[in-house]
Amino acid sequence: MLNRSNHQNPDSGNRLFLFGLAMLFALTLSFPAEAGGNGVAITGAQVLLPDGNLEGDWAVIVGNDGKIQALVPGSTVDEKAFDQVYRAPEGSVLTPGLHDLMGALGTRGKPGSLRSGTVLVDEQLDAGSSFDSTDPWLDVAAHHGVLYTTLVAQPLGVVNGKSATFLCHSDSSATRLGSGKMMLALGDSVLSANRVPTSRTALLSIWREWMQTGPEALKDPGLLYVAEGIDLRQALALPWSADAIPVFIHTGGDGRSPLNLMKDLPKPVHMVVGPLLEGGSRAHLMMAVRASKQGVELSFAGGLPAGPADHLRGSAAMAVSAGMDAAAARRALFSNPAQVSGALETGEVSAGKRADLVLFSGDPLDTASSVIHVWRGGHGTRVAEPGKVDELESVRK
Amino acid sequence: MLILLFYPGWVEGQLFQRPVVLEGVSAPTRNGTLEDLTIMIRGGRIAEISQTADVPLMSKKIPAQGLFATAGLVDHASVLTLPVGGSGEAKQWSWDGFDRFSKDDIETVLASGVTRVHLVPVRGSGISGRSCWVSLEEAEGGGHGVLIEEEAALCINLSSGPPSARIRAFDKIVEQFNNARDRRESLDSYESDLEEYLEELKKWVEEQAKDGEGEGEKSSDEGKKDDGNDGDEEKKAPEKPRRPDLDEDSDILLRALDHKIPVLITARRSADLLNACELIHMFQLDAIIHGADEAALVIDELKKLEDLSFIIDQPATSMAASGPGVLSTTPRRSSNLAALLEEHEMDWVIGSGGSGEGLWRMTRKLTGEAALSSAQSTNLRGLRSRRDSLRPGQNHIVLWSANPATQPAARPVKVIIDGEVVWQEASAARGGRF
Repeated sequence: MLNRSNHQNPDSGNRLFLFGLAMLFALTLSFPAEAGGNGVAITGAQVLLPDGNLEGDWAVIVGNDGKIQALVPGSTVDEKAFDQVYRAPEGSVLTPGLHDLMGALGTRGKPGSLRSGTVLVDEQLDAGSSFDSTDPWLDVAAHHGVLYTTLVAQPLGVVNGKSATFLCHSDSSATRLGSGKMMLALGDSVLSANRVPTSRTALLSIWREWMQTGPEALKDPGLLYVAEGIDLRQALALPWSADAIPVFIHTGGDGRSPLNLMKDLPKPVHMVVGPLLEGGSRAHLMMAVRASKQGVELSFAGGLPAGPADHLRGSAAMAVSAGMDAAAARRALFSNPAQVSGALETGEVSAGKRADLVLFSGDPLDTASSVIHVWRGGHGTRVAEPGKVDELESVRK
Repeated sequence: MLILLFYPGWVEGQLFQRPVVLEGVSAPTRNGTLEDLTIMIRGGRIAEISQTADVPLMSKKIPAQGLFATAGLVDHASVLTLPVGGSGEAKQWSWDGFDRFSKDDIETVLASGVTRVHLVPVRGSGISGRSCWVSLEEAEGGGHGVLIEEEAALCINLSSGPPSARIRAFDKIVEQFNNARDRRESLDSYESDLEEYLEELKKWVEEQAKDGEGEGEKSSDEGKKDDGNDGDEEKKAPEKPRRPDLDEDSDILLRALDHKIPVLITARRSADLLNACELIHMFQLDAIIHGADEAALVIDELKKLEDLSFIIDQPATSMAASGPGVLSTTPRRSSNLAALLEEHEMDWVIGSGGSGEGLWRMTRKLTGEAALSSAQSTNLRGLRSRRDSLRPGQNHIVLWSANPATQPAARPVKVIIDGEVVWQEASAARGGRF
């Protein structure tokens, strides 16, 4: 019997059931825990489930291939069977990596280096070309639990190429995750005095005409940048096909008014908001909370390295204080960004996913929690300095 | 009628001083949680907290079942609705800059559980002005905010601008304090000069009177002899000493020099902290240091000063500002500043440094599990701390959705001041602009 926390979304029962089945399947077929095997066992921590709830008494088994082999009940783990056992401190929480969306992490702080130029529909542009794997801030971010960065080109055209997601690891070679999504834009940023469109009306006409041609770029859900509330309203009025509803990127301003129009869209609808900063726009914060209560799946935008290192968790904490459900806020930090960026091998602590894990001293929504340990592709790095010898949980044999 | 005749006080109490009752609340304590409490409020203040209280017949009940009660949070350094930047002077007063009709801003702060704020004027380098304490209850003339302490501290900013500007600001502050001392000396000497003058004037008047009488007798004889001469020179009247001009700024600085008000010095870098130490030592000030990010680097100098206390915060600095290979002027913040000050037995409290909206998150970040006890203990010398716990006599109460001591997702649901609900969660949804 699983011991549930208080915060549940309406689908959490079904999700949990499916999750439980998946775990059982993994337990019985993929990984005989009692029999043991090579790899690392992380025990003693609460684990973040895909539905955003925290669950205790689980052990995460990481294989030598850098992937999570299984999630098994902690009491069934035979520690002798593993190369390494990591006993997490009491109260700690194991999560996937945090995700910096649409920031400049990995560009050495130069987000403006990638532009779509004068071509309004540029499907060939690859945001990954601006990534610099030697950017030292990648490791700094990882020490704060941010293990992924998703880059996009500046939204200067209607189609601005594809996004690119990378593992935060300063190295000579980059680890690219997922295939990226088409970056679309509808708003002031596309307007120019030098070329069409020069007005919103012209931009909308271009959008409608382009959509009527059934373009390849709209076959799959893309990322749609809608800076203002009016952009969001106009975007929602466009004839989207049911299986290509984009992720709405609304990272500032007040979009509360058009939120009602989202009710008719097939679920789940994803939206990227923030970053939310202390003393920032109250209207944007309340918009995010209202959207979440309305069933929109949120992700918090990045802003690194310009923002404070822990601002992703800070955004979530602010949203929870303003009324957002805690489980929804955790999904907005971990699993939703993986969906949004298309890096589907990340974002969940479950069998078959990459073993990119972060061990927090407590609930990641709690600003008092700090990062203790991170694993990237199964390779662990101690972050917090132990105050005394017995705080070194890792046991090597 | 008989009751009215025989127990008029009881009837008046029941009808006109109806107690406010919160039933079924829990209260986090240092040792755990007390559950199923009844909190009775009379005259705006908690009269009783009990698990077995008898609820009066005519009491007004505020729904609070399952909620957690704490005292209102106190922000020891807030700029709520204040203008920030520009030049300051001692006579500027933060209460003058406070906009009590800024409903959205104030309700946002109330929604975070903060009910009292120390309004600290934040100006450019130098003397910023005087701070005050404000309770965020509804004011009689409309809006929110009641002044509860007019002159809390003289505020000085040693931390703004480039190094050259900070050096000039420090020299100017020293000069201003020296001028204030000179003014006191000239005021003192004026007083003694005035006394001397009055003595001399009295003598002079007497002499003049005496001379007048003598001259009257002689006048007829001498008038004939010395016709056309002025005679002996008349003794001049004593000169009245000049009163020093009015100088409100210096008078305020004199109150700080006379220990009538403490001085709140904002200093973050080690060099600024050393300047603050020098200033405190030079003029023997009752001082509180705000910021103290680099206290670890100069802790020995800070320890030399007696009765020094601190208001600390957690500035939101860019990750890139202190990244690898970056030469930054951003203060190097100690990750364990609160623990460091504890270790050296220095008093500290937490102030948001902003509007106060993020005070609770900042408190948890800085103190972790000890956040609630930290937010409710009173250990600040110099500046009077307003932090308090849930106890009889308290008039600021916050009801939380969950236990704030242990649940990071806990958030305020109702804020009660003087027995009135000044904010509740439902109203928050209507906040902001469309």
